[in-house]
Amino acid sequence: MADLTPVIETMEHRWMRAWVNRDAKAMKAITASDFILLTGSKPPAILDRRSWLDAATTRYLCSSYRFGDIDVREHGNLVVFATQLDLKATMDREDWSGSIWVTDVWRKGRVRRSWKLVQRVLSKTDDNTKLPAAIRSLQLWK
Amino acid sequence: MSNLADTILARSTAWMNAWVDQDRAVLEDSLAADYALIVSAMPEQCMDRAVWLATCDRYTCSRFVYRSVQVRELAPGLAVMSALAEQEARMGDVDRSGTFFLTDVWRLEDDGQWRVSSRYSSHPEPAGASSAGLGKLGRS
Repeated sequence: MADLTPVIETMEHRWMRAWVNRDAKAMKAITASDFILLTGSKPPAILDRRSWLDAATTRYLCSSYRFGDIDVREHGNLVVFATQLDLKATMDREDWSGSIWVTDVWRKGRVRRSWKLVQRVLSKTDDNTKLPAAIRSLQLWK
Repeated sequence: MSNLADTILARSTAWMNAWVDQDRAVLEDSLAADYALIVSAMPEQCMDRAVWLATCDRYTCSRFVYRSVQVRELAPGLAVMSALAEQEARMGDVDRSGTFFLTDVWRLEDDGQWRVSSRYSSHPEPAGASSAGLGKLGRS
């Protein structure tokens, strides 16, 4: 199977650049009709596609972004892209910049065979400083 | 919840109960052959199925509860579950107790059983202005 990492990474940048450029048309073209944005908060909150496309060009605005290390994993017609995302953004002109954990699900269309983002989950990066060392100590191949 | 959501939640709950009970058979039956755990602190180093199973005697859990579960079938035989998870656990000397935010990909396999093929572990965003603000943007 071909490695889809460069394909999905390119789609991610297209989607994020459309947000930065407030280009609803470009974003809509690569966002599935059943898209949801889910915040991993207590309690979780959901935006549907229509709400997101409106918010991303009017009230919840992104001026720049940077991906950290990425993980791209294929599951048939779905691909999950996960990364730390450093975001400069505002919500109703209030600063909402910061580092978040993004778990995106891309789905390949049945007809046009193009990839569209069907779910974005936003949560907080695990910042337990002891964790990386603890996980490394569990790696049996070392 | 839909029948599928009930099924996925039941499978996932059985998986986590098996972690608490150290029930190796159920643990193995829950995980797809390509299972991987991706932790937000270090996404470049995923933990594969063999490693995860091998660490269950050192990464132990005494209590696990799901909250705010969301399940969507995003393609035939592929479902994504997101949930808050409250756990009391230890990984060696590191206390891994607390509330996590998990996103799992579940796949319906040839034997008719759903198995988890990846888990993405992070922390919930703190309750506050950002989640409340996003909630207000929704139309529903």
